[in-house]
Amino acid sequence: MFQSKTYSSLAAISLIGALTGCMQHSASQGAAEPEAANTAIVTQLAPPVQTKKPAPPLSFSHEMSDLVGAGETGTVTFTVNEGYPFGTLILEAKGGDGLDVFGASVTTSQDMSNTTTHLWQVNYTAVEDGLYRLHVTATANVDEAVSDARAYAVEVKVGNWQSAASKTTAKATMEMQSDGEPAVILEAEETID
Amino acid sequence: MTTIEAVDANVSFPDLHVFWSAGNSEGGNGSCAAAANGDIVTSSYTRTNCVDPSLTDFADFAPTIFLLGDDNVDTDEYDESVVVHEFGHYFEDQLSRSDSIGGGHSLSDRLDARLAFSEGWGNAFSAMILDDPFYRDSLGSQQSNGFAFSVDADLTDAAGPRFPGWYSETSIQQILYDIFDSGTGDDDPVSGGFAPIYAAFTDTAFSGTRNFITIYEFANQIRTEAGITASQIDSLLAAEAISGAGAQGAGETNNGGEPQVLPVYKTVTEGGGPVTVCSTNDFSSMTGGNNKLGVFDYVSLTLNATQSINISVNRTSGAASTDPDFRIWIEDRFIIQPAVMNSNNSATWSGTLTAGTYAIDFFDEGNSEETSPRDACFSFEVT
Repeated sequence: MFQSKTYSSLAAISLIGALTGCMQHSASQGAAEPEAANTAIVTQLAPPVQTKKPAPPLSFSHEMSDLVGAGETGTVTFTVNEGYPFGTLILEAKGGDGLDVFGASVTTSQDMSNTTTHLWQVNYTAVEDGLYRLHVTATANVDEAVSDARAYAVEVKVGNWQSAASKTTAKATMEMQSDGEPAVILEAEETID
Repeated sequence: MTTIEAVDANVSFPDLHVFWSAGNSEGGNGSCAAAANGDIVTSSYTRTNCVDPSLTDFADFAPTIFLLGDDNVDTDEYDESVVVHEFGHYFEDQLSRSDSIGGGHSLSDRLDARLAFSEGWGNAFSAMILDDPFYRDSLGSQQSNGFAFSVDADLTDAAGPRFPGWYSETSIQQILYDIFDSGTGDDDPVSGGFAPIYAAFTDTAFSGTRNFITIYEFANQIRTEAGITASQIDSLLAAEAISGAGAQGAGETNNGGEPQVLPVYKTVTEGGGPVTVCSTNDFSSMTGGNNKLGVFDYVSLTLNATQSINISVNRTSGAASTDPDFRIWIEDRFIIQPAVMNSNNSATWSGTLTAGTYAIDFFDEGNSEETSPRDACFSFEVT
């Protein structure tokens, strides 16, 4: 038994990453216009697609250890997937402001010949409670012709991070300007030599 | 823009929206709501109604570039290669025609031929406009790391990991740049500059083709442009293991490691019996699976007169449970009514078409939507 199929889902087919706002306007919702040369049929312009910038075949995911307090050691376990048949994968971690990453695992080098999935544990600590960022970079050295790298960041929560975060909320107040644009006015001092 | 205006003083650029913020980072689902929150997936070009959600016709959607600005992870506002690459997509979409199906991609992927051409163009266009063959994308802590390659270098190898061919953006970027470049360092027989490339892209014979926009269609067009000879183009294509002739790549022998992807277009005729079409996820990679070589199989149908036809597709081999589907294209529009009717392992369409050539992209939705990747082949018949 046949099942009728509209192209409301087809708008999304080709087009992973097509904007949801766009996908709401499927072919069956009036976006279509009759094609003059084919009055018996109705056509639709191809839905917009998202043409992304080139990227190396590297992807990240991660798991956080349980919440740790200030001065304690936490761990992030990264899974780095790559699509190279051989070469060396260099992984580097760096803590954002206030977050210290440490130990031998801060930088590691792994062989890409035998596996495409690489597990990597990074230890961190912070002196104060807060919400921090931990930055990681993966560099794939495959040949001399191409330098492939990709970066990733995770949020790291330490101690009573909500309370600490609220203290760092911007104190500046948005003001409406005469032209209708909202803006934050900051004190400035200029010295001309 | 000056490079373009130098070859066409009357060029008119439609409005372009560019969204950049220090808060723009990877993530999100591609929706306008997510983008408004800074989650833009990655730097990209698209058409959106984000600024004016009341717009409902895709033709009215605004050309839009999103750029990353995530300090210490990935910023692109100073990465000229990235910005111009995305402008290259704007160029092909607004001044010519792109049939790209979008999505993630890398230099080592074997891609759907429409996507491969579009992305190879983006990379080559960036090099042409910046007069620098090196594509650079800084990232990482203090933007001290990066991703770089030369579009003028021979980065492909039949042994991999970057295989040459009609499905490779790496092959296509080099072919396009070799047509353009000249002078010191030019290591190929063509020194065409930007004029013939611009002429090919903006020729209505190209943008109005009834085939898909691939390297074959472009090669077919640029062979006719002033200052270019067919033998020069053939030599550039041959160097990248592209041997197919004409706008449909007839006789292509490079299957990328998957025999069922050839011929590039399966030619079907009304009453001429079935042809075999297939869909596979074999080339799925770290950048995704729905836009790779073999997911979509191209079919060409030519009718000599207006007539009513029936198209039937039935599974013949491979995965036991499949979800075949297809779209019938008239340039950059596809038929939505009458609708394709489909069910498990089969699909049909009936309607009246005027004389002409129709490009059809066949696919299994399990592969195109990555919901259930599988390999299967089908009979495709027009009666």
